[in-house]
Amino acid sequence: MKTKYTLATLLCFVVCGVAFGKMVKIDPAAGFNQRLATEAARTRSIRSDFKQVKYLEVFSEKIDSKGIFYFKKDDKIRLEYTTPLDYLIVINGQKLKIVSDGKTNVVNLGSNAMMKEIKGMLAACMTGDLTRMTGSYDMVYFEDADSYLVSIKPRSKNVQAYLQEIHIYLEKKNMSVRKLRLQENATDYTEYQFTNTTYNTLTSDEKFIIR
Amino acid sequence: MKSLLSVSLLLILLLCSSCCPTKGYRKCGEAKLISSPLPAMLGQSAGLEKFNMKIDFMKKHFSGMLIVKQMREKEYRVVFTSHFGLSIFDFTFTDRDFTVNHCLEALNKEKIITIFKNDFRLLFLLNLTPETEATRYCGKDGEGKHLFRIWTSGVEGYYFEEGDPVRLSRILAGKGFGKTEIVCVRTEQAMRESIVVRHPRIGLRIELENM
Repeated sequence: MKTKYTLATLLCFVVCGVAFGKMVKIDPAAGFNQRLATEAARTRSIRSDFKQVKYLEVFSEKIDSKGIFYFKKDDKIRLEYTTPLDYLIVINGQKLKIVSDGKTNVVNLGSNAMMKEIKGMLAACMTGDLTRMTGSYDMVYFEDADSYLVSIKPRSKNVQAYLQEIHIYLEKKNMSVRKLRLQENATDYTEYQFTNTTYNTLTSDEKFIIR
Repeated sequence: MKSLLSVSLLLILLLCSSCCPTKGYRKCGEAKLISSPLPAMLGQSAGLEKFNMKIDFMKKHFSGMLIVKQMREKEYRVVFTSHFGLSIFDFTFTDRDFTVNHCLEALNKEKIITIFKNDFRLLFLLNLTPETEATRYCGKDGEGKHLFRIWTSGVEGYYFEEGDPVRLSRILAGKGFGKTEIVCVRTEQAMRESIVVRHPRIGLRIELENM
């Protein structure tokens, strides 16, 4: 029985090792949660370049987009796409604004519980402040020499219809989000890589105004 | 009274002539429509095609990326994703079959799927069978202008071709709520070609712009 248990544990480590390279599983209570909370408390705003890669297994093709990501406490997010075309997403509180092809749409997310949950989850993942997560998820934590990886699985079947799993890669030196992968199903995903990140440089709410 | 009658008759004549698709054409034979000489409006490329797909409905505007690939002869796979990356629908279709591989629950309704099914078949396969027979009309004021008038499942359809090289420029198909107009538009400003699909009875407009 003991051998069986050891084998199962070993297998588990092998599977995790294969899935997340050389990363090893950690207990978030042993320092991770505390560091994340401390860094999140220090962060008032974020500005970052991002590269988005959409992968579709059926076409075996990666589709690239680029833009600028902005965050301002408590719940303001702006995704400004510049390539391959101009596209803007602004979240301010419960309101979502999308500007495409010169036309603006404003949606109130407060009236839709599921959209509200997805919004909260994405906001938490993009800023790295996982303490802001709403809804119920299964979270597993890993680390290597330079990064932490948090694997998040939504429990809600409705949310799973959009997102099966999320992987967030955080830099150990300052707990910033380096990479975010939204896994839609076993094969298709959208990955965001954040570079040139600056903190606490946004002074006004101008970029987040929704009219 | 006599003048009122004349005005009414003139008005009726004017209305009839302006709404008749064959205006400006003369009958010049019968034709059996197979894939040649009528190439489809889209899907002629062997590789992956990407479009900025803009949807206007009920005063709301939405856009995303439509990714298309011809999988084998007369079989296409179309995936529509938001610019943010999440997949909205994924269909596979031929002239006989239509498979919904994935579709967000909010859109996965029979009427909506039927609209997409008919539109994609018209755009990529012209919704013609090898047996489809047509009456051929020639343009009165220009060479290379042709119109094919067809009947498919009891519904009349008009396929216009023109230009140098000659290509399909406009399709009128369906009736009632299924009435559809597809037009090839070249915007001088953007120097890009786009395809506009209009469903006048339900106020739906879809535009596909090459990316």
